[in-house]
Amino acid sequence: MMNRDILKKRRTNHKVVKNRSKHLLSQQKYQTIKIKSKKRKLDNNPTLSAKQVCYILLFVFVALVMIFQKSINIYWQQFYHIDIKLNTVLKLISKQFISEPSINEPSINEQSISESHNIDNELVHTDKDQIQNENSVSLEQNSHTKKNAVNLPTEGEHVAGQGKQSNKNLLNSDNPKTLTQLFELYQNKPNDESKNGNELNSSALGILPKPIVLTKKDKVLFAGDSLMQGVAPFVKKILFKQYKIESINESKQSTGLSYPKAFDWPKTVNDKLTEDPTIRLLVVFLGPNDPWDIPDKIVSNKYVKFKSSLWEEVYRSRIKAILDSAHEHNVQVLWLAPPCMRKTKLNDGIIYLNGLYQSEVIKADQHFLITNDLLGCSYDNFNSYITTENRKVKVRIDDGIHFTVDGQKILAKAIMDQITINEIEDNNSD
Amino acid sequence: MSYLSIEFSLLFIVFFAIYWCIKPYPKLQNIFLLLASYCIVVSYNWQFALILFGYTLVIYLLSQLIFNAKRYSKLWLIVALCAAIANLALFKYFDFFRYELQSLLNILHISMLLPVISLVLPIGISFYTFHSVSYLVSINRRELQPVKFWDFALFLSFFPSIIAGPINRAKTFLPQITVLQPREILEPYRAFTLIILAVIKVYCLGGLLDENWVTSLYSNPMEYGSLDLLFGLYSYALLIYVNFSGYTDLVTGMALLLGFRLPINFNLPYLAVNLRDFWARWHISLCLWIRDYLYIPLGGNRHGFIRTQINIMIAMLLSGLWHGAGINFIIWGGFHGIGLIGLNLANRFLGKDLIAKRSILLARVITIHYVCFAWLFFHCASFTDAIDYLVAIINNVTVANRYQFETLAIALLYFCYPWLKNLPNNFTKKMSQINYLYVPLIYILVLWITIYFAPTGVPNFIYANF
Repeated sequence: MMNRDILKKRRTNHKVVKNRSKHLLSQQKYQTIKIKSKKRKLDNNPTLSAKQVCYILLFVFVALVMIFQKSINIYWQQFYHIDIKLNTVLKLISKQFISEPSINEPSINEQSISESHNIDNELVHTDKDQIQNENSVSLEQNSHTKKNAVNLPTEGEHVAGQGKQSNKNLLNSDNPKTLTQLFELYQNKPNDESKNGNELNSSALGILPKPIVLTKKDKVLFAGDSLMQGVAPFVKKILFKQYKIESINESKQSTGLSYPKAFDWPKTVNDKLTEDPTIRLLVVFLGPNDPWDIPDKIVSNKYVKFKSSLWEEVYRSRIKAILDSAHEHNVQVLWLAPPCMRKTKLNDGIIYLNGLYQSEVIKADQHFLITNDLLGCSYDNFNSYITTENRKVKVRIDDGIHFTVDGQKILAKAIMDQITINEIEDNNSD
Repeated sequence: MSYLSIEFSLLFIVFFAIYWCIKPYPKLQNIFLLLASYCIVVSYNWQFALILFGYTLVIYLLSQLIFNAKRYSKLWLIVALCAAIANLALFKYFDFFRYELQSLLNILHISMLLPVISLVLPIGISFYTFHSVSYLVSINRRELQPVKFWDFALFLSFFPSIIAGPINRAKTFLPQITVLQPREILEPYRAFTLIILAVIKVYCLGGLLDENWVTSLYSNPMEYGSLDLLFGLYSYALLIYVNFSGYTDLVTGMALLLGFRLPINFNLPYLAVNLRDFWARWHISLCLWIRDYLYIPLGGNRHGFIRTQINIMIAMLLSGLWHGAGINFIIWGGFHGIGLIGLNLANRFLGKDLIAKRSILLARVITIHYVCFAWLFFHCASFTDAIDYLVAIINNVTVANRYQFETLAIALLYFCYPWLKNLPNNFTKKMSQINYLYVPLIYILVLWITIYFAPTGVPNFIYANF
């Protein structure tokens, strides 16, 4: 019995050892397979260290910024209303990266400064050219502008200090009262702007603008920013659905008259009107992207302060350029006043801009449409809702700038109300 | 702040550098991530951050009650779900239903003005609500141990997925937050490819489609010929795909670079052979969420054929409503519901996969047309706009077409698509074989060309509005 037991034990022990060794073998095998698979995995999914990834990200970013620095600079101006010296910054960064130990090298700074000077000179040059082209200012006028620009900061402060009051020193108002009265008569609506002190100034007086009459052969051009982008489709639709009148919607978001480098409205309008002589009406609706300082480096690197006399001069010239090209092509203009805005600063800017639009448009005998009443608000009191009968309709979206679909439809209808459609062809108003 | 803007790109690189400097301390990384996520939310509106934080606090407390309750955990779950839905409904649907309700009152000649509460839709609310529901359900099912508050806050606010998904599951995503071992960058080459793909899709293709065709075609369909309008349907279908999948690619790439894996959201949806297949390929994370947290709790397919169809319809209608408070979204959901029910009926009575068995191409073409047709309602601002578009397609057969070439191009692209689908993977593989020092040069070249052709301006993410 004992022997048997011992034998059994031995056998089992042997088995255990065998099993163990088997187990160990399989474990080893498993581990080698695991390592192999890990290696394979590594081959399939090569990894990079954080430093390497950072290098790739930074390299790509810096290179792209350098390639597209022009567009980025324009973008920066548009959104932050300041210039960035990309070139200088990038040169500094790249120098530091390429030769890391030479951080304190004095030559870099000198070089970058001289380079930045060059850029400035270049910019001054192009700006000068641009302004000359745009405004067709004579040399004398240019020197006058320079003069203004020298006194710019103080004047700007002065104007800003006056707040909503009209810029009397800038406007040579000949007969503001009569004009406002006439305008009110024409609009047949209470005029909010005059209450706010934005009195009109213009020497052109007397004749009311021709009513807008379109025939089937005529086309309508829409120009403006995101406000127009919302409204234009509805007008387009009504025009085509009801009267088979075609229209062109050129509106583009984030555009205005302040940053012609980003988008040049006077040029675009002129090009479009030249391209298509059947355009008989131009509808303009812009403003909220504009009430900021504008880049101008004629004298110094400083920006032209919003509401300063130079700013007004430049801005008025751009409004005028649009109106002039419309006049040249025998196109009527319907200019929409941007309505009240929720943000106080923007709202103040809009009040000021509307004064400029209104006076220029009336000077050119064109149509100016006030939109506040339509949207149930005033410049003193922002309101997203309009109450009609027993219904409250939301007309502005939550950003306090753009319109809801209902608001867009109201404005589209108001634009249509300004237009008379002559259904009999070849019977123009003139 | 758009994730495709240069400001964000710069901030991301800085963030990335600091984030990996504190690699040995995942907890510190979490705090940093949480701060960054809240900064992103604040960049939209500081009130959004407050709302998100309040919501996080309430849901977290309720989740603790669910976990600690011995007998009434289900009751607490219902309370928590109601709170989550109420929060979403208040911000997203109140204005819509107030409007409808007011119309109803007017019809019934009851002169009563409903209170007007001007509410701004907080960014990402639809997405973080769904994230939180998955956490609550997982806690109730005891699939997951409750996590620390700050980890939960990061789960809801994790910046790559807060704006427009993909919808994360607590079960798979929270373990990635609560890791104790240092994180690693995951598949960096794939991440780079995804980011580049996003720029190509959203910035270039999406921007071009929107600016040149979609906006003008949809703003006045009556001016265009039938073929042009059909092209408009295809181009919007392509636009929403490149925009949304591009966004998903971007955030997935960003998450991989930060050591996180987001769920897959797209799998070549327009190659689907039927509508069910489409929903297994389009916005997958939403589809799975609806299946698990709506369709199955409703009974799924366990209560007979007719109940199944009703459940499908409810799920699809609610999926439509989730996209936004508007009758058009509901119609869109309804269309997909009807399509799915039709498919089930055909499978039951005419035989399974009748068309797909005979011709895969025909099945694909039919599916994509049905989907494109439904997108019309999704995109149009109102029901009448969509009807106008359809009427114009039928009426304007004789109107001269302007976009024959583009129509041909888009059709050609569709047929070449199956061959193009492997391109990104091959690109990733090739990149990983090159010395990393030269990799940026190729990336720069690709991005240079892309941005050169792209229209100016940072495009919006369509799904960020939902």
